Amino acid sequence: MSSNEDGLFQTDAFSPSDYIRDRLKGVKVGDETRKLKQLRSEMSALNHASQETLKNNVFRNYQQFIDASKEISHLEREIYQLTHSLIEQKQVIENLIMMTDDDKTSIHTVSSHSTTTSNTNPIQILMQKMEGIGGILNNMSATEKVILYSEMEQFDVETKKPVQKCMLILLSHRLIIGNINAAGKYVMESTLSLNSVAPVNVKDRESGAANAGKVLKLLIFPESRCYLCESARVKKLWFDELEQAKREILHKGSLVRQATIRGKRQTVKERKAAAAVIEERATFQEEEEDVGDEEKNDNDISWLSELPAELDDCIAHRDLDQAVELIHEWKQCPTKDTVIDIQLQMRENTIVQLLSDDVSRPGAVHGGPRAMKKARTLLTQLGRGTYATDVYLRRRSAMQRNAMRDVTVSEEPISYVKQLCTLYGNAVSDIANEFRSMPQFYCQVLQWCSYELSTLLNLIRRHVIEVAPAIAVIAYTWKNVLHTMEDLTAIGVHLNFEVNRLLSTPLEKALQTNFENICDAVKVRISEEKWRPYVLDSESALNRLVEELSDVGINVEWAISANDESRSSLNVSQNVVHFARVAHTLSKDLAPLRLSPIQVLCEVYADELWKMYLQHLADNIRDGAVFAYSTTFILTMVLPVCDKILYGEEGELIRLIDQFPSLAPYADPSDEEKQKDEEEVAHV
Amino acid sequence: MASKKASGTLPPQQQIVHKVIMVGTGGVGKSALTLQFMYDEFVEEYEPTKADSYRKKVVLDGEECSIDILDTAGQEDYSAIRDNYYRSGEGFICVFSILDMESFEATSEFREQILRVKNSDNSVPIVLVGNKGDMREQRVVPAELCRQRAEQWGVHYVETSAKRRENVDKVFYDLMREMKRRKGGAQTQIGIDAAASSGRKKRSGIKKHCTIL
Repeated sequence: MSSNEDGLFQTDAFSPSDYIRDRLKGVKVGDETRKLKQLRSEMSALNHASQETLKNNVFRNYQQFIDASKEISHLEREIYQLTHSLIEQKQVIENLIMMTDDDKTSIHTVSSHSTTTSNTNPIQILMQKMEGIGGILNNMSATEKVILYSEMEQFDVETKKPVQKCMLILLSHRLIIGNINAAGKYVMESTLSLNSVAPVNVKDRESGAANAGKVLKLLIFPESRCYLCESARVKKLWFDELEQAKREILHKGSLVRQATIRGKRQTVKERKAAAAVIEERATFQEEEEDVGDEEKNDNDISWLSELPAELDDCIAHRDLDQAVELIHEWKQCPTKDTVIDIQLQMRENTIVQLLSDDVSRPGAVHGGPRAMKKARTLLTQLGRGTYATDVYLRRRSAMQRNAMRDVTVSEEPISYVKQLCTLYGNAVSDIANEFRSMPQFYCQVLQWCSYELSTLLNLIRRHVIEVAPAIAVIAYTWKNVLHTMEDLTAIGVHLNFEVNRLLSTPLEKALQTNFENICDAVKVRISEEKWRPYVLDSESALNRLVEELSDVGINVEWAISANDESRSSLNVSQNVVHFARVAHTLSKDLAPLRLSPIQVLCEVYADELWKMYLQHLADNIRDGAVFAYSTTFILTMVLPVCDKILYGEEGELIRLIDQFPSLAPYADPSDEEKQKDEEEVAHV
Repeated sequence: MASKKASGTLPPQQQIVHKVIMVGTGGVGKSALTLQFMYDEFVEEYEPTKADSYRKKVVLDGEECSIDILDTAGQEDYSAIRDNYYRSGEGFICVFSILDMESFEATSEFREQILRVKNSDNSVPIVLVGNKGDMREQRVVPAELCRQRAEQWGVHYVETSAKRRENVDKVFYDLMREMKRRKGGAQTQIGIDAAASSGRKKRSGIKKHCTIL
């Protein structure tokens, strides 16, 4: 048979019937059977030959395999010998180190020494030394190993005496303690999970240097045991290894948790990516995609079905960071399962509730807003930022109310206002600073500030403005409030318009009551005006009055009667002096209120008072020194001073004199001298 | 009180032991307070503690007893393994530095961890201690705030100076009195047995708690 025919048999399109027909073409009619028989013998010869070749091939490969195995075992033996001689050398070196440098640097060597011995065969050694641990040691998982084992003495802290010899074995996940029996062999006494064991260094100076630093205490809830180690070094080694092993367990626990989550998510992603690559290849496109989708769904669903338990675990450990992360991943997961979704929704609500409790519970505010920040951040991540802010601000409001309640309504209303304003100012600036980096909540913060402001102003209104205080108190209250608002404007909380809205009416009312009283008093005085000189008790009383007036910028010295021997009377009537005082106080009190929403009212009242008095003067024009002095005093001294206090340098009230032309001569300073002279002449 | 009557007849090893645990952020002076109380000495150098245990015989209100102090690590990386230590405590001294606001704020977390380990038992004896009182002029944590927190927790607040030995004994004795009062109330047996049985009780409490979860 030719080799091209071999090829023919192997082609896909080979058809036996066609082949036979082809072979029998041109064969004489009677010869077909003979021809076919010949073909068959050819075929069987071919079959035999190929079987023979196959056999030879297998044999050859087998020969090679045996050679390779021999070589491997030979090499293994060599490696073993090498390791052995290395260990021997190492032990010799370690012994030398021990002999030369007895203690200090050898912590490391001992540990590596013990690990090498434990590497050689710790399990066998331990099983020989201690009874009852075969089951544990033989059934250790691949991740578990013997970390450390030592013989120690159990130690009584009270009597400071050893109790019995024992042996401790530290595995990756547990601690085995064995006590010695009468036969001198250790018997396993207890096996403890490392989660319930905590190592402690026992510091004891009293029992002297013999045991110093050698006692290791193990807290095994609810009891504790002390063990006396061979040396301080061994104790330190045990302490560190125990701690390390505990950390390892915790670390692994969290890693496993994260890995299961991430791993599952990752494989889903990878599959997606793989599916995308396959899609590009035209051949198996549809089929492959279906498989990818199915696998992805399966994976997601199995991941999702474990998620509720995972979340419960997080909630139980109060590891809310992790919980929120999981919720987040769940929400991003494209696969949905209604039953699981409902369960997860419940968990999410629980987490939200826990976090809100964190924000709203009474203790949370202590330690500053920072203490609640984490919970709020987590809530924000869960898409409940507005809610968290709301809860938090409500909590702050409650705090604020408590703090305000503590401020006593004293008889000193100004200090009360001051305290309230400081409380409010501090709280607002606190909140504003805190939310500086969270512009999405500005609206809520501003609303809160405004709400708190109305609380503050309500208190001020109820306890200060509505109890009908003097205008001075109203003025100071306003000053304080305004000052606070200016401070807040500086940090970006501009709420002055709120103050104007909330305070204007009560302020107006309070001012009105006050003003009516003042007017009534002035009217009574006007009706009693007799234009007589103001006679005081003594010269010193007069001096006091003059000083009092000159302190506020009103000069009255020129009106002292020259012809009075006792020098204790003024040529200005008593009622006029009274009016001077009233007008001056009013101007002083109204001045700060001119910056308030009741500015217009202030000006109207000032105008009204002055008009009334000027009218009174104009109606009573008469001869006589007292009237002339009084009018001049009012027009040239009192009016300008009040005007300046209320309106500043420019002055408004001074123009009122123009409405009373009959008073003009008294207002002219040049006339003053003249009149005075006339007066003196008249008296003479 | 049962313990008082029995103390005379008890062999020394069955004396009442008050197990106190020092907690607080790293570097606030837990070890300094402990060493000052134990040995009347102040150590200037700072070496972070891992977990040290001290025992001292004291006479509390005329009655001899022992105090077992567990000085714990304040560093953050120990927080995960603190539970085992806290579980063994009967009273806690929660220390912060009046010069460090963060250490004060952290006291809340420490208390929460204690309460969690103690199964939310709010009456577990705690003393809030503001240390480094010798540097009061540089204080950052206002005394008012400390008192407020103590009041809120329902515990005593004591300001100490481990350096000058101010109030050091007061802290430990106050706490022991509180623990004694508490034990006196719950005690059915005496000495160690009582502590062990109360411990067992607590553990079963935890288990019960778990099954609810």
